[in-house]
Amino acid sequence: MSAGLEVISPGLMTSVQDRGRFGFQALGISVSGALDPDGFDLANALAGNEAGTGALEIRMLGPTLEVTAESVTLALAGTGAGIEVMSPEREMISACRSVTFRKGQVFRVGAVSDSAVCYLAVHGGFDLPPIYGSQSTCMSAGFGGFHGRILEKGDCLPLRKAAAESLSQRILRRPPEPDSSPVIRVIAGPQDDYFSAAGIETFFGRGYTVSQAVNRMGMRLEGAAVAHEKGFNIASDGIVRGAIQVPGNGLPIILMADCQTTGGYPKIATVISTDMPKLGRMMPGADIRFEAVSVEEAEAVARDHHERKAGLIGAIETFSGSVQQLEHLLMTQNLISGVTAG
Amino acid sequence: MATPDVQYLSSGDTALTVQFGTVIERELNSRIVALGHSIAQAAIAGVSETLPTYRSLLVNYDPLVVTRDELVAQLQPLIESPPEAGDAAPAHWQIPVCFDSDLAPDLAHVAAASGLDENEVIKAMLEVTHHVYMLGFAPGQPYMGDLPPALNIPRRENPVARVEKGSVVTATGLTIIYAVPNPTGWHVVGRTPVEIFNLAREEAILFKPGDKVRLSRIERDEFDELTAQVDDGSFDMTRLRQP
Repeated sequence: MSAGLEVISPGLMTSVQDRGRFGFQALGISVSGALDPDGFDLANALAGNEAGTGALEIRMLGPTLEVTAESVTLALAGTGAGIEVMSPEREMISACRSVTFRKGQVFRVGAVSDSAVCYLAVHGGFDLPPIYGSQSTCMSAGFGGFHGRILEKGDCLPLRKAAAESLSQRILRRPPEPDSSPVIRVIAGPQDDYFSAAGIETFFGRGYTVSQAVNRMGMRLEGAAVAHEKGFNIASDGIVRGAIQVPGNGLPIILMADCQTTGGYPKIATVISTDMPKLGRMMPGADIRFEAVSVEEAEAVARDHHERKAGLIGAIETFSGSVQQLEHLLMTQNLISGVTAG
Repeated sequence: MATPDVQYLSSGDTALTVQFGTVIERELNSRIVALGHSIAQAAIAGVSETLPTYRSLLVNYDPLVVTRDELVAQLQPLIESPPEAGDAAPAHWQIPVCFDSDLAPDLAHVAAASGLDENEVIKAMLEVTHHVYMLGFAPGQPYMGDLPPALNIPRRENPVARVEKGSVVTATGLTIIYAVPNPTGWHVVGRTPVEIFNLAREEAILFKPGDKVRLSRIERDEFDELTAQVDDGSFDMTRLRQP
């Protein structure tokens, strides 16, 4: 067995994801990729990886893993929950910083309550073959990631680096504030003309709730039914992540990362790219209110979001030394900043 | 050729649906496939990929590199210029299909709904040279047409949870061959032993948009034999290609 991370317990739904599989949608190949690209990018930056390196996407309840490599440096992001070291000594490692574990150490990401997904990135990435240029797991077609499926007990995730390279660690001292507003911005169309004026008013005027029926392919919403005007069948056309299709029962379904490439239901609106990470983090029961924006507004928002994200990643600091030294340093700095701020 | 009446529909801030019409029609579809090739050749900055379907082309782009308005301005001349030939000539395929009742649970329903008998349904499907309009829903899965008007029957009211890979299904005058096991809202009328998608193969995906496909009838013993060959890797894929 190659050295890496052994799955002691797989968690609820843990899969390898990267930014997605681009360039093959014309062949019917879904894009897949991280549901929260912001958390994913942050985890990789903290792990000292090249952007887009495949990482573990964790859904609500994380895995318990044992290090079978010499050592490994990793980081958790996209949640306020931390990494719980189980052995040899119990210890909590907060999210948004890297940590190096040695062979034999067991750690877990427990219940995550502030986001539907979060990301565990290992320095160097996983030694898994890219399929159509990506390590993302496409569960519907059963390929990519780790054998085309979610992790199971006993799996051994092979690492590209058999040992951590240095003891230096990375940390983001001010993690991003979670956005708790229910507003999800959308651009109307491409088939908003399939809905009556009353239907459009319902969609934008009434709120929706994320149902229990959520997976990597789609998110079914509960709430008021949207009235069609021209039926609910179109000659199938191409689908993007974030498309909101409305089938016969009038209840919107937002298509997520693993969605099929084409579909035959009319799409009333499409979530803007900037709000997709937030949507990916939403859990069953969360409230959603759709707000219409223009393409130009969405483009400006996307540029702004890109700059903010670059700023966040730029704020990651590197420290050398042990975790204990880092703790001491942080405590001292907090005290100092506390004093100066006071 | 007249410039088609094109609509630019926004699919969010990262894709544009270039819609040539609302009907399923071969010439329209060929223009869409050709436009996809011209866009690829033009290598427009920010455009990551295109996805042709029956009557529209989905153009995916990065809004940090190109805005919608800039993109439309660059697409316009490509749409107005005569369609270029695709980067590859369409291939012709012959796909063996078994119509035995356990592999074709909906054949009786299709017969009843179309006013034909079961043999006439099979005959109609065998006589058509299918045009692959698009690949979609699953890797390499072809949406093909057109069957005669009698077979323009609605989809199922309630989808079935799973059909096997290789299932040949029909509805609305079109035919699909299932690439992987999936739910379906269509009617299952046969099955092919051929894997139209297999990552272990050099050419994982058999068809491309614009290809021509004919179905040929095989009996159960041949179906079983070919299935065994597919399973042990000895199946000769070249026999599927027609000159």
